[in-house]
Amino acid sequence: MFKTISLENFRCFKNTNISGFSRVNLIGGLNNAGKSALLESIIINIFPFESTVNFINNFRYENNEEIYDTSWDYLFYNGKTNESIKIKLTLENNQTNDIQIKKEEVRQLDDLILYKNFSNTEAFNSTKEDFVRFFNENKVAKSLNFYLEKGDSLLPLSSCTFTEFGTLGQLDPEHRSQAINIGVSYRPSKQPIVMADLIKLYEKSVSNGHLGRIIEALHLIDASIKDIRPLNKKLLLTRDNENFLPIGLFGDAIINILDIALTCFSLPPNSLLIIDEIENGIHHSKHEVLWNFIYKMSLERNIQVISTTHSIEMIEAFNKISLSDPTKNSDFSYIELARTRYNKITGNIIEPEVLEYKILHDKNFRGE
Amino acid sequence: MNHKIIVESFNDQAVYSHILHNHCTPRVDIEIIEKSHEWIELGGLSPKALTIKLKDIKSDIYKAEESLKIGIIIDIDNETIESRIALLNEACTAAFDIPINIENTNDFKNYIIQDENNDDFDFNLAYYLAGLNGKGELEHLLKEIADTSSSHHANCLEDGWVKCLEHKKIPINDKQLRKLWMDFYKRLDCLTPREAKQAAENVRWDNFLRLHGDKFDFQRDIQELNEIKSFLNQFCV
Repeated sequence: MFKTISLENFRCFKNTNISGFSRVNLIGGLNNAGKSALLESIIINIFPFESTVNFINNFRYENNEEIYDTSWDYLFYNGKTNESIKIKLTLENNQTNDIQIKKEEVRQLDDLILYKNFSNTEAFNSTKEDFVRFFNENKVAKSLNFYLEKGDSLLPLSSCTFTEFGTLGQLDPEHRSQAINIGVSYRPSKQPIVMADLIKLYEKSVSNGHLGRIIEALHLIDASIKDIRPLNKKLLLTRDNENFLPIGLFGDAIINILDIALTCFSLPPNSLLIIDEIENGIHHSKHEVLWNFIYKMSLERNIQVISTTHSIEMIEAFNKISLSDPTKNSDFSYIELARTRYNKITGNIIEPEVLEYKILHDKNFRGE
Repeated sequence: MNHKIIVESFNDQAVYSHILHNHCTPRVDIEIIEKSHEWIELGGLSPKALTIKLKDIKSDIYKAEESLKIGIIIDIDNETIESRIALLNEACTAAFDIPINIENTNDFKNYIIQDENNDDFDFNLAYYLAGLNGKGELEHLLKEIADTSSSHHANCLEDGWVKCLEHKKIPINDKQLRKLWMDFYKRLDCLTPREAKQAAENVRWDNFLRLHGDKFDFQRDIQELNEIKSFLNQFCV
């Protein structure tokens, strides 16, 4: 479970530290406040690979291989590729995971940061000639390089080099083993839930003995649901004395809740569940039960939850659960992302009682 | 982002707002801008409520485009000025997480807090303690400046009603009497018969001062009144 994140030169973050993350976290802010970028930074810190960048860029319409070079630039604050991106997570035991990302030019094979690791491998021999020919023509390739900062050393973790004839990925497993290794599930706001994935999660959860808990999760939205089963690449639900019907007919809220529940059951302990715009598809009257369920799951599975929202009702419900029991206070953090007079993004941790006051008195707490 | 004045109640807000908008002298060539500051009610003074409201303001300090002025006005009541200042210092220290050591009322001090990015954000903070002759509350001052030339209903409370209760050995405290006096004064001595038909609305301080602000002489040369105006004047730009 991480407590602090420090960001430098990443997306819209010039230089931002946010301390005070808890077990269940909700982040509010205006559009373009950096909520999604903050989530992306966490994922990149834990999975420092170009494939992660490619994955998150899918949701920003930046997934075309032909524009690799420029889409990498957009990772850097204001396109400042001459400076490193620094993403640092500090865990509750004060262990840190300092990741640096550099966009670097490659003019010869030796410039590939992990060249020594794979120069003699059979797999590389087939593409080596292409690279040699490329460099002999005085062309310059671009690499997105990921490093782990350990003391004064920068340990190369992974790299992706882009040339006109393709990309070359490299990884150093030994250095990778020195970085933190925790499970993460990320649901971007724009990602449609794929039925095949949901069925896989369902089957895994059922085989682990969680069928009863799955029904319990479905009851958060509809208490009349009696059973769930997979059939012909679909999940089917039935209410009292009714036929089984495809889950898609029951609305987005059921699918979203089921996805959250199944993800929690599937994640290993000490994992991170990251959800962008958690309110999507869920009626405000169900927000409190959702937070109760998420909190229960996070305790049972020891999962840290990081979520964002634009919804005032979602924030209100989050705060009600937080205030409902003084022992829960320290397990919930509401973080307001806002711009300061220095045009930097700051993360205000707003205490539950102060947030309650702000909600009751129509004050600003979402970055306004 | 507006400057902030914290007061104890809606009534206090109405009175100070009236003074601010009608009696402050704007600085040269600068007019009072409507809503250039924000009133925050405390709803009866409690250190915890004050701390929560100050923490609310703290998050606004980070978002403000320029340094905020924060004023806190509370009644002296039966305390000393020193103990009231100490109470406010303690609440501000807890809320802002820096030592706040204001020694005098009506004296703005500049403080700096840092956000998680270690950037500096300054704000100006001052207190005003309301009362008369070093004790009491705002209503003491209001009663002092009320036009009592024909306030028979209110005056007879003190002349007759109190004596009657004393005769019957029924205790009544000063605060209750003052509240009743002010209510009788506004309701029975000042409202016109037509206004009295909606007395509940028209004795609310904001409405009453709009209708009969002249029933209180806010121009009187009284030290406490002058100090309030001087304090509020800081928010006139």
